[in-house]
Amino acid sequence: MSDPLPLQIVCEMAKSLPAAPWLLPKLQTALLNPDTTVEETEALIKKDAGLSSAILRTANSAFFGDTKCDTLRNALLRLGNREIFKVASLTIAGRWLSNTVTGGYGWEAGDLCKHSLCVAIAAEIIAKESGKVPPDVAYLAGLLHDVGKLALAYSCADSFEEVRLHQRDNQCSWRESEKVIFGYDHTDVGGILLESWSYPQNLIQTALYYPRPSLAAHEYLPLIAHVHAAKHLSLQLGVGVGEEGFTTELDETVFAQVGLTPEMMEIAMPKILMAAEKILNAISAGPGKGVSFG
Amino acid sequence: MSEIIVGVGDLQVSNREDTVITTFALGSCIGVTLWDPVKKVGGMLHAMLPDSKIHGKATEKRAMFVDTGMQDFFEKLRQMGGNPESCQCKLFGGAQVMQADSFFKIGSRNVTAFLALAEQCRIPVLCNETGGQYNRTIKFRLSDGLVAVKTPNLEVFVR
Repeated sequence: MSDPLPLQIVCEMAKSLPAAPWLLPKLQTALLNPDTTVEETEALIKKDAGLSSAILRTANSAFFGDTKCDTLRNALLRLGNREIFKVASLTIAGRWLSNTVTGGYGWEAGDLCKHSLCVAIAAEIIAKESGKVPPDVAYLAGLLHDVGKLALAYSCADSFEEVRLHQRDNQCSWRESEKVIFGYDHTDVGGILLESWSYPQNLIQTALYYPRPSLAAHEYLPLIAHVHAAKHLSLQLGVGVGEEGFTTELDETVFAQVGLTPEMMEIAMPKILMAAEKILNAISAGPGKGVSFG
Repeated sequence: MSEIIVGVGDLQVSNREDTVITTFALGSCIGVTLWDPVKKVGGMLHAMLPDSKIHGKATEKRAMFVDTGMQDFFEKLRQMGGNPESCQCKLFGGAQVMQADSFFKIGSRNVTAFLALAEQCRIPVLCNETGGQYNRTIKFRLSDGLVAVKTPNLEVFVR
């Protein structure tokens, strides 16, 4: 094989993908600060036309009231910080994760975004059940856990056949196979990317350690264990899962450490499915999807 | 040719020969097809978990579970004029994460639950395309009962 690209180059190339989610941590900081004025929030959100439009659309949906909201400021006042952040997370991160990079992991277009949404919803539901982690933080950590995969597939897709063969021949995890072939793996890439966009440490740690939560710093273990569980519950549903999905590392011992029981997870599964169904139906591919009787 | 999509935790049956029934991305879920070759009636179940008993309210969506989903499947087939006892049965899905050692053996739990139920109902399973570490999209053609299977990065094959 030709020499793999250096890790820093992979991360730099990823930053050239459209719609990088750099605005999200700035917005998170602003929304968590009780002294932030609505004018300041509005100024941040106005930097992103797509996000402004999503905020207006949500504020004008039937769920939030009958009267029309025709300015961004009114929409922000109607939604409140918690809802604004949820719309922003989905809009900003979802847009970046929707970049069409179909090589590498065997994804169909949109698969990474669908799977990440499932993990986000699952993490939020488990967090609500357990009471151990703030559900909105779990949601965002789930949404962003695989950012490194998009970057790696974008810059190194040509070398994925070697990753595939190494994984198959050695029956190791896909991540370990990436490490052998490239010298780094998608979690290294994800951690660097989130750090470069100034994301908080809990989300950086999640991107770095979600396949191996026991290696994370102790203070982040509950969050990362929730994402680890959410990842595997979402894999079971199969939606948006690439060919690497079922070779993702699983450490069932960490669940007990943070109070997640098998019963809790089994009961969560139908809830995850029903909560995800609306979003998945809206964005799922229609008939076809490359399968035929040939 | 019309196409019916089966979602996760969903069941669809048809008696139209020109129909293809599709479900996307079976992970640890199982996809069961039943096809009555005489009446040309067939359907597909996409079940997520083996047993409905601990789920209370969620059992409103009965096709999520192998036990309640198969009960409804037999009933719908009969309503459409098919006979479950003379159906060809094929089973797909049931993938499993490579390091699963307890709760996350969901794929094999689903397969085991279905095979036990099929034996109890005396329904021979013609095809058991389950397990492994990959998801499967399946398309079931009611004109001849064949099922096309797609897995990531592999060619489509027919069972």
